[in-house]
Amino acid sequence: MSRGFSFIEVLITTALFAVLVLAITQLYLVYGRVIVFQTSSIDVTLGGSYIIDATRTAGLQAKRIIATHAFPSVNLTSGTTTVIFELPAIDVAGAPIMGSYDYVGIYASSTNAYHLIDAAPGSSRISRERRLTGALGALSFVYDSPSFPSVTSVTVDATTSALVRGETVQMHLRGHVFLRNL
Amino acid sequence: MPRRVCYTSEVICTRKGRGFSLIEMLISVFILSITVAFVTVMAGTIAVSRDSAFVHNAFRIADNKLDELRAGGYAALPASGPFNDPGLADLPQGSASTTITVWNAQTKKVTADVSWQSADGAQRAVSLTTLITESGGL
Repeated sequence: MSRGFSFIEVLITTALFAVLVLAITQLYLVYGRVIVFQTSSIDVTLGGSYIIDATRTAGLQAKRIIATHAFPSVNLTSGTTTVIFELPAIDVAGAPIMGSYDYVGIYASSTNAYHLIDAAPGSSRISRERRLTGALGALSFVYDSPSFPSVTSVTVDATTSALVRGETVQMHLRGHVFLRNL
Repeated sequence: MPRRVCYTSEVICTRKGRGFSLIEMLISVFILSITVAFVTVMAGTIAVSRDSAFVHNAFRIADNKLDELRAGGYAALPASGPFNDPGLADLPQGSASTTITVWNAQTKKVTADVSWQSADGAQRAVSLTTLITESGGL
């Protein structure tokens, strides 16, 4: 009863232990990869959604699309990767301020998409600039009329993608935005 | 405890001639089940995230359609039937249709359904419904 372990017992225990450690390490690594993959797919999906939602929110309230506008930080020109909406300014009570307009610009710059708001004095909207996504693959705005003042709807096509360990995570979203404040 | 004869090896039958004790079995079953559960859960999350991307796309398609019908107005509402959307190309065997019924004298009920085949082969569908009035409303 007081003997130690036999050689074969030690050998098998060591082997089992090694296999177990390997398996757990492998699980840990795979799990890490899955997490990274999931996180970037969430980022990619959110990035695309932000672009479509920002365009729709501005489009629904927009009176028209204009060709150019000088935002405090950048001069934008509407086109395939940029859109500028002109929205009637509204006061804190929600009433439109006559003859006063806020401008909302959404544009792509390399892999980034930005959302700019240039609010008129007295408007309840807040001027700001924010980046919608840093994982932009392609962004295009297609208008139903070649002349900006007569545009009534914009089709947004946004592709966001990220490269995760050699594998591409991609989201392709489309939105058809109708100007509802013409 | 009756003594058992060991034909196989020293490892499986110890000197005492007994089998595995309950606690040993419990521990090994515990470790095995934890591992199996872990792997299953992990494999499941990948399928779930792929499906959630499909759900997301499907809702966008339905939402776009409702927006389009709403912008077109009450008078221009088409009859029920399938519709096409470029986003359907991203859904496996995706198909979409609208159902337009009379809600009351001045209102129609519009439902946009989008269905596709999910990763596990089952048919999935999302549906959005709205009311469109003859006058007023957005």
